Amino acid sequence: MDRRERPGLTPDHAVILPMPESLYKLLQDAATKHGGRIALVAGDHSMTYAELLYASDRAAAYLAGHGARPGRRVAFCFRKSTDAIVALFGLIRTGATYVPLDPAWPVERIRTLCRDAEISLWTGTDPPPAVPGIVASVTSKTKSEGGASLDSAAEIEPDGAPPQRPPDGVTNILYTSGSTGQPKGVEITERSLLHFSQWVVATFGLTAEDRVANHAPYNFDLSTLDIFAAVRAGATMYPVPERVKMFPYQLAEFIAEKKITTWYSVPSALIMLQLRGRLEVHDLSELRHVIFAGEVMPKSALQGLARRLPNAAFTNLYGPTETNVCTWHRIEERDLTSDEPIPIGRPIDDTRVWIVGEDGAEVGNGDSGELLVAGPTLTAGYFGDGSSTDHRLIPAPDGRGRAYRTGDRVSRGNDGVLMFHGRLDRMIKCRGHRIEPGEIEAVLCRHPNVKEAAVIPIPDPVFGNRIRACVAAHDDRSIQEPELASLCRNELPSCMLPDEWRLVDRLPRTDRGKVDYARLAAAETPNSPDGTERVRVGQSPADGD
Amino acid sequence: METRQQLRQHLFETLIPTPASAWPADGADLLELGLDSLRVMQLLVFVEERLGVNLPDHEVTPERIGSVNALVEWIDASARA
Repeated sequence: MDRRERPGLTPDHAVILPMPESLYKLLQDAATKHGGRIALVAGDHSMTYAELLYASDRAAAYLAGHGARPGRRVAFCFRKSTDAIVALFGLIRTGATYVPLDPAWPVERIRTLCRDAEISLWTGTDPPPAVPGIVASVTSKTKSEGGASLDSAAEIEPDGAPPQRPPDGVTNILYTSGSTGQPKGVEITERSLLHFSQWVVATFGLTAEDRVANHAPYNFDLSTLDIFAAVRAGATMYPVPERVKMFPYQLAEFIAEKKITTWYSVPSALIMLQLRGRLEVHDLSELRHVIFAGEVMPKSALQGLARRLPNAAFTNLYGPTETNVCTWHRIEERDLTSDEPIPIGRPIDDTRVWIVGEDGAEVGNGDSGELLVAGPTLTAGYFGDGSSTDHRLIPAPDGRGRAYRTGDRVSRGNDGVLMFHGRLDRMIKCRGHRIEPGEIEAVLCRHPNVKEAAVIPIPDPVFGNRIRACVAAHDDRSIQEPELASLCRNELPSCMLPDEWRLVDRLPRTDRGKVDYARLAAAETPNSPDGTERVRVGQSPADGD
Repeated sequence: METRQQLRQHLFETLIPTPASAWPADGADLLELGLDSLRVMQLLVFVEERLGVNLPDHEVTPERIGSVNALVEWIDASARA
């Protein structure tokens, strides 16, 4: 049979189907409806939606000419800028899958992730580090001397090809810390981003009048709200410059000057604002939505913020990267006055959740167990890691597709509202970043003098947790904390660097021979006279020095 | 101990532990060296509690925190204020 006669395979087939929604169409629609409105303001640069679409169309053709196409993964390593957003939509239009990398990461980590994601094309503010496999790069403006730059894209004609889509539906891959010592690539689908952005626009009533801050880095799932919900609403994006983020008073000034209406960040950023931003001297009356996610917001900080931001509604969003946002809770008056922790709330639209015990059976109201999540925002899996995918994505209890095992201990009240009670494994949340202690331990154990290492969280009122590294050297060797710190700085992002060091003779173990993390957390000794801290946590106080 | 010495010690022994042979010059950009938001906060607490100098929140800028030299200048000025 001639292939063209087979039903469903005619070349026109795609054309006669109704045009499905796509991420690129969000931008096209914004340019149609709000073409003259400002899409984004970054430093001295701003662009209207018409300009953003024009530039993205050209960037797409230019990037396609350098190898971006469906099925390819492209590194995306930008500082906050208009270029970044143009490259992002350009890549989406080519149907390539983009892999956000943080320019602040150590080169070694960027190399590792490029290799893991099998990157052949690099896009970024700066040129790529030397990585085998990267055969082309497109960078910001004058940064690249002689190389391809996004500036050149503005001079070419778009190819007129329709926007492509990734064949497996994976729009981007977000790398998170991995318990086995290697970062894991979480595949984020276009369906997830479309569903989530739609839910955000409807829930928060975002409109073209809104000014949305983009605080989170692009490799962090929080940024998908700032970008895709803003574009869906035709709102204006305001990327927060890296250096402003670090200084609470300037951050408050930024929110006031830009008249930000919608803010989404990890709690620690808001706590810093509340503690040192001097909110009382800034006019923050335009701020109507303050949204936080990523870790537990302390009640005292929330009360302080609520006093200073009377026009703002506060909302707690919950969800690991693998589910983007899956539950939410609008803060009410009683949340501010009660002693109870802030709930993680109820599932967002079309999302199903279960709380199961160790036997896999659902637990009763009030009992805690592991939270399972199913719905349109679910990840497609871990890139190149089928066994982790099968371990975490299991058949949904209701038989409809798969559910993600969050590893979070959660309970449900009689009113259906979910409460978070911590992790079932050793994962640490620190300033909203998730950190697998195993990844830091693996780096420490690469030092030839290190026999064993254990990393534990120490609770911190502002930053959620601080990281304590306990390290034991081989019997005839010695180690010093600055050496270990340098080793970590060369391989790990700053959020994963230990804040405290404990050099120990050996790690304490339980009767079963497992590392006794509780004893490590309890170990405290005053500084010795020479300024180094040497703790004999492997021994009882009686046989210490 | 003078302010500069105490600052250098806190920075390069505690906040950004660095082998003694590789301590950066006093003009080096601390933000490039890894002074992030958490460590900026810890630095401010150190100056206020251990050096006893009150630093107004609105004066905390990248310029004043950017290097040991800038910090010393700012702390001295704040101490006189």
